[in-house]
Amino acid sequence: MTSRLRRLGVAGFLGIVAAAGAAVPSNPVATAASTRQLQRPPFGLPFAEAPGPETWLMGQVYGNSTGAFARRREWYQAGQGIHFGIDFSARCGTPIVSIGDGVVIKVDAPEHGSAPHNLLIDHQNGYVSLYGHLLERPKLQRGQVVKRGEMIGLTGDPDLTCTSRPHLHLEVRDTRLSRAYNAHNLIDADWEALFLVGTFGRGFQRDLDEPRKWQSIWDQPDIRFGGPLINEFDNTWPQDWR
Amino acid sequence: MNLRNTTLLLCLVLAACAPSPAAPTVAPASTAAATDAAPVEAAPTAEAVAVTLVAPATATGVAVVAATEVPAAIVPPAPTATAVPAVAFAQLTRGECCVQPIFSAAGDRVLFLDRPSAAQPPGIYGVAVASPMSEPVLVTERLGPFNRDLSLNVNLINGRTVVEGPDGQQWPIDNGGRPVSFSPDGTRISWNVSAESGGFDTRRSDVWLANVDGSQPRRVATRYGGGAVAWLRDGRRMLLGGRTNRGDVKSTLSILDLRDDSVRDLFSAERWRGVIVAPDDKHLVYFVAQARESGRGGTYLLDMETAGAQPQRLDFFGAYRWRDATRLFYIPLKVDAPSNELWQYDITTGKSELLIAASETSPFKIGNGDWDVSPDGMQIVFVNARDRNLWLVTLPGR
Repeated sequence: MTSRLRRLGVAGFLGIVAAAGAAVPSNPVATAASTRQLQRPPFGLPFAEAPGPETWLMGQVYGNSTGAFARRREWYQAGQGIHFGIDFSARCGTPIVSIGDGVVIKVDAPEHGSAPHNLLIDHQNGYVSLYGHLLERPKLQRGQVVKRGEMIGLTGDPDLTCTSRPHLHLEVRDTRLSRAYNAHNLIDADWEALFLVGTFGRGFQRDLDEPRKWQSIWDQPDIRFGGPLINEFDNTWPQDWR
Repeated sequence: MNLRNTTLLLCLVLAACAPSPAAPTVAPASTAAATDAAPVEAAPTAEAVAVTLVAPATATGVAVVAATEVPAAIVPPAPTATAVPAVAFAQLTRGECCVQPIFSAAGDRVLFLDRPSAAQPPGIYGVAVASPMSEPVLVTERLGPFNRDLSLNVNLINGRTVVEGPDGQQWPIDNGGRPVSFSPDGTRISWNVSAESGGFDTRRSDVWLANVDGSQPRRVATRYGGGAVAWLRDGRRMLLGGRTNRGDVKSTLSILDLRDDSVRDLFSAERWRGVIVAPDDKHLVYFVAQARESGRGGTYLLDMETAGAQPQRLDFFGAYRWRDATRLFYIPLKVDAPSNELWQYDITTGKSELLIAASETSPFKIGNGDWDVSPDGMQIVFVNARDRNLWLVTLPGR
């Protein structure tokens, strides 16, 4: 990440920390926000290989994407109507690595979505990562310690075909698993470069009363699971086509 | 607004309605291909890449920084006497305004959806490319999708699709509230009727055609995991994508000739998308990514006119746009580069040329994946990732 973009990322990161702090006082990172100004986002990408047509590409950004808006009352209702993770397009069986050091807290926890298999890792810094739509039950045990970059599972397809929409759905949540954060601000990556290539849909849904709101990957809102939809706009664009 | 831009606006709507990762689509401006590998055969020429920075100086004008003041890092180490003329950058907007810019059909304005203040209506605003940093002007409160000359647009009113004419005339379209695509001449519309369940790569989509007022609707094709992709510029043909039969392994891109409903297949592959047709309808480019069979990923060029022509894999992978009928702009996917590179690929020679090099000081770092090429191919507008404003690149020569 370039120095300028890193500053952008840090600024966003701090914003997220502040938000997390307001919502989740027990978040240890939130209490140390002032000491983190010069730090990079705490996590890495969930793949060891570089992006490309043979490996992985970013498929859907976190946030109020046009695709999520179209599914706000179905797939994304639990997350207040926005895409509460980042999707990475990858063929089935692509190795996934942990985005940070941590401890496995759940293996195959259907109550958190992202079927058919998922995995949750507590990173001991106020954040939990969730890896969804895995090909098979991860060969990890609850309580097992993992290191950043360690292989933890394989990408799968929520439609169980490996031809429909194979991808990894990655979330970063609080330790209560009640909130999801804008993972772009917490993962150290050149998101703008990744955004240029291979994403589905285009950009973010507009609230025509405030069309500049939430139009960057950096300013997408955190969500509270079970909360009301935050993108049920009176006037919106693209329109709510069938 | 030209056909490319009309298609772009349609894409925005279609994307919201059809979030199918498997469905082949025309590449919207932000969705093209990229690579993690530098072009191999497409090596940069020995020609230097000189950059003239045009920075905003006042609210009404710009200050031109002389080429001699260009930071050294922007200029390659071995410039030659054949150095290309300077590339000029200019900031177009301020206040972190705006996203998803497109050029007007005449290329004299950059258009974007905005609402500059609570006192102003949401709509399509424009900034004259000749007047960077000037106050954006409301072009229309209609938001599209539009036809080629902005005389027609389509709206969703009480759950019903309504085509609106230039004099306010409205034609309800009996298509279940689906978006439509205008033919280039504005006389016809098409839309997809897709199943709402099942795997995205195998869902049935019927392609429908009607007159612009909705009369004489008829189903012209059926595909699985796809549908209508784009109108061709001649208005007589459409591109169809998807599986011809539900059980097909590969998805096929075809040309449907609306004069006799004949279909000619162009290519079949797994997981292709990002189709962009050249302005003369003679070539198209697309990319393949994450196909089950390894080694197929990459950017492909196809001659649409020659029967039996095979797709040619290009030696770059990146975001791309046609500059004109024979030249393609592309931006290789290089993560953690200080800025984006801009290359030009000539399909007649197979050679690539570096137009903008990456550097810490280059303004050419695209945000939101948003960039567009002017109709004459001489300018590019993009969201600057560093300041979130719109910037303009003016390219040298022809």
